[in-house]
Amino acid sequence: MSETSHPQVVAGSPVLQAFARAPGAFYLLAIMGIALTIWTPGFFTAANLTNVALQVAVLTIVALGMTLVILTEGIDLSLGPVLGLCGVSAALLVSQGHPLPLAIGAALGIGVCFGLLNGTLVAVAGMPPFIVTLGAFGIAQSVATVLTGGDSVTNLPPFFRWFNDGVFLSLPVPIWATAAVFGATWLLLYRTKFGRYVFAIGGNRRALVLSGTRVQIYHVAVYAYAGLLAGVASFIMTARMNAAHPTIGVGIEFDAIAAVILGGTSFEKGRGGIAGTVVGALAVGVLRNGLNLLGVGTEWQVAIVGIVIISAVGLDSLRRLNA
Amino acid sequence: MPETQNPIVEMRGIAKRYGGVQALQHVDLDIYLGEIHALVGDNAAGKSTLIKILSGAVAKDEGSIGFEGRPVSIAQPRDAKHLGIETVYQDLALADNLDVPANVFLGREMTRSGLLGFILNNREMETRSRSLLSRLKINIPDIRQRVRSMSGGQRQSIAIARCVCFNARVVILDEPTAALGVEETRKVYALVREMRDQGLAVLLISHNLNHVFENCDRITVLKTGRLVGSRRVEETSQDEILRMIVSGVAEERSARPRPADRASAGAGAA
Repeated sequence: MSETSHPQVVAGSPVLQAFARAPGAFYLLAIMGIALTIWTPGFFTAANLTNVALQVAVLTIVALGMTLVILTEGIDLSLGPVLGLCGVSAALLVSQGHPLPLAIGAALGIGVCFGLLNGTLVAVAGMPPFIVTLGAFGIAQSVATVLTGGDSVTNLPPFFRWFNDGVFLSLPVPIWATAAVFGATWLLLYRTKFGRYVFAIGGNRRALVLSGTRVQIYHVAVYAYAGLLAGVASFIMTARMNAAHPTIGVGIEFDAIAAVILGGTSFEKGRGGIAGTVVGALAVGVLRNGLNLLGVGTEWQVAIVGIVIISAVGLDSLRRLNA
Repeated sequence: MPETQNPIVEMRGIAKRYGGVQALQHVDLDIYLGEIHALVGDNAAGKSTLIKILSGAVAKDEGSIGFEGRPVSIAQPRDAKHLGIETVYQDLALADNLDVPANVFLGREMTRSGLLGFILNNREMETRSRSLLSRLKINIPDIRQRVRSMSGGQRQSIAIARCVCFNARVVILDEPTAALGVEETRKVYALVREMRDQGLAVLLISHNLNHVFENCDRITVLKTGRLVGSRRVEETSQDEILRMIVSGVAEERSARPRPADRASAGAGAA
């Protein structure tokens, strides 16, 4: 079909077409991969690449949930602090000797509850997602700080580290977790009614309402799912640090939005998908890793990610204008 | 013959007030299977309000609705759908980012059986969409394409076709060709006649009397929220309908020969 719609851009080979349609993250990742391999001897090593993959696991899991929210023309700014709150809650419970299943249930439950709160205010009360989740951002961060008195929870039992350091069939647990979350999200998004409605809410919510569907339930569920994934990611994050800090999650929502947008998902009309988000998360991860290797401080990294997001969105709108 | 059968929908004494504006005042409307029924009238005649009441998008203040002879309550869109009353709204029907089968089955997705009941049956939906389109003689080469890339006529046809798919008895169309060119308009009306020939009742709003006279079987005229009259197309002329639209007065002949209608309907049922 694109052979006729973009004859001047693409010769016709499916491979070339795929390249021409690939989201910005793909190019960013390729260019950075080559540049970093040439400039920094430490980049293309097994140890560093494994490190990048592990770093990216948390971001990818959060960004997958964020993708679904953005596909519905929404946004969830609270996912970072909610991740932090889930982490300290689980850490406090296990460090006080409570069983792990209780901690898991509590963390995932908190994530889902914040999602339900956000989703209800957005889908049922009709409030703007930006405002609602900004409020939830503040609530989650405050509760996490109050729970821990502002300190890190450090006296974790040794088994907790399994969530980051564990190895199963020669692959680290965070990689398995990311793969499992991707698989589950793919199934949900592309093979179930829920996923169909995620796209339809973004594409034409009114049409879905008029079709007689109980749209609000599905719309709330999107935020609940994103919250659930923030809870899942909090275990990897906490195990990685071997501590839970109340503000550790702040900023992850920023990188997650960057990953989603770089991955080709649009803020409008339900365009995009989760495969691009994985590439986007890798691009953000490699960017940050590269900046670390090049000795660029964290304080500048946020600005650079910000510039990359704006450039990616700018290029994308240019490309759509020309198409 | 349509004249001898009972109407499938009987709206009686419908009234609706928006604040100080009386949008509809004691309006009656009968809709028959196998007929295309046009609602005509100036702006603010109450046409849209009347179809929205029947489709459940607007709640009426007064009046009653009968469906197949039984009184029914239509409080929301799903009530109307449950009865088999489907509505195609202007420009509101499709999700641009989904393909044809996803749009046709939107809100009524088919799933696999048994343990995989939560998994969509995309293949079945595709097959059924394809046979639906061919039954209605709608030509869309690649139905896996997103509908964003399709022409206005194709999109309107898909929007109309999705109603037919779900055992609709009555299809309501709000200005189905308002945004279309000549050729596409012709195709959409061919589709509407095809649905009529397959036994559905069609109620549509149109501002184009030529289209109405070429395609419809019955015409109801409204003016400022009141019923002016109903005519079968072969019993009237564009002149008469135009006078009714402008003056708001039906000519001497009674708009609704109700006693006779009732009598013949009773005879038909016996």
